[in-house]
Amino acid sequence: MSQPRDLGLDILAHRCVQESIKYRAHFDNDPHYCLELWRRALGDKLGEAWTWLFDCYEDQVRRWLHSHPLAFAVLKVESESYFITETFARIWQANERKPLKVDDLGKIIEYAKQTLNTVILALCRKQRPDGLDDDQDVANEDPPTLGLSMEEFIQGKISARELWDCIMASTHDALEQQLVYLMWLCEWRPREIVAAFPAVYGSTKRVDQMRANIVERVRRRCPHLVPANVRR
Amino acid sequence: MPWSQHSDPGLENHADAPTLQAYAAYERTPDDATLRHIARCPQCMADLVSLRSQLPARPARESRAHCPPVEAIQAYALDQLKGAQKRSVEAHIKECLRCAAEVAASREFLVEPAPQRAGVAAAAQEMIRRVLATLVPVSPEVNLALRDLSAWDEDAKVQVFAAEGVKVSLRKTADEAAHGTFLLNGEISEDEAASPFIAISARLLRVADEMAEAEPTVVAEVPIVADSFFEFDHVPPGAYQIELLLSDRLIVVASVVV
Repeated sequence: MSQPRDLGLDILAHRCVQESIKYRAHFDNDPHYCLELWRRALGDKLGEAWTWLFDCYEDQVRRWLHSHPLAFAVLKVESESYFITETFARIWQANERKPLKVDDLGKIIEYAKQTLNTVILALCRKQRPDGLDDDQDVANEDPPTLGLSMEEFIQGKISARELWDCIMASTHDALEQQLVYLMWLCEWRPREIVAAFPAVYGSTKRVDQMRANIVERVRRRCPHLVPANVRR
Repeated sequence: MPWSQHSDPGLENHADAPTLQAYAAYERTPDDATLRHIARCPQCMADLVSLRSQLPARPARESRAHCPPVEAIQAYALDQLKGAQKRSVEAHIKECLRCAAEVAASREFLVEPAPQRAGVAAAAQEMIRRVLATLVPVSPEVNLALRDLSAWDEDAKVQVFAAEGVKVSLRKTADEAAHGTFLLNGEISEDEAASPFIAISARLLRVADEMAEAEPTVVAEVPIVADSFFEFDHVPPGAYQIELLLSDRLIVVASVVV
């Protein structure tokens, strides 16, 4: 059988796709074909190999994207193609700064997945849902809070990590977990949430009610974390 | 070393300079077709990265201005930080609910097993889709196809299973090379309505005593030849499962008694 190094790019890419599918299905697989493609794209910097590499891994990145806990939110801000392109751009950029090691397929795949994670987190920090940025009413609205001041965190009375775990544990279903992410991680305002998910949340009144229910459950579940005078 | 030129004819229409500049500065995201071109095309990608390296980093929201970079949050989530850097991020996370949430989301995505994920899309996206094949009546054309494989054996037993427009025909014959064992020949065929696929590998799994509830164990794995044919030899009598790995799904024939 031909060694991966001896294969043309099209055959190499075809084998890479096959071996990747076997890997995902936990079948016996040979990582050398994929590694050789990564090596030619990043190590040898062959443009054609880069294009094949993208074609081989585009679907994989897309699947990762949809399995991310924040996918439902970030996909309201940018398209799938944005996250895939940004992931590849960051890999290219990192390889330009310092050549990436391509001797362990597991590690390079893990690196690609981590890269996507940073793209998603960065977008959450920097962008709000499109079309509402210019809405003055929304811009003046404070993002939902738990009613806790930063001082209480800083004084070490409350650990944000503990609080976050408690909030997530106090949610009843995926819908509430999504709302928690939207309000307290992405900092979306109720009107933005309703505008992005009209069929799900319906009205700002419903968002406020759901938020109040969650806060109440957090207060009961972890009374040491949430002061009694919290705004409900 | 510069990037060599590609020869893919689909990459001739490069993104124009204003489009690339606006995208590099995160001012305007191009349409999906242009984005995909930029990602695939080494020339456009090199231009994008070069432009980005000349621009100041995109500022975060005011509320996140004092948060560590997302890379540091992720490294903390993966326990990759050491010493002062770890202590610094740790101290921040104690105080910042949003960064604590980012650590949790990163762990959920990168570390934790799939069933614990909260997102609607959930973990099934990561795994290959499993489709259970069901036993169907044997039709004459299936038999003909199997007969073409090798000489027809009077004692041959044929079973046909179907799943999502794909038919799997199995034939069992005595394996003359090993007394008391069998050959299992298989053929995959598709309906016109079936979505196109590449057939990759077939796997035979021994099913333990049903009462023991043990997981089936893999006894053989073979390539599927010409997108259609596979063969297991020296198969002792017993209960088996067959898994057929296609490019978009895993077809499971759950009960094959040899």
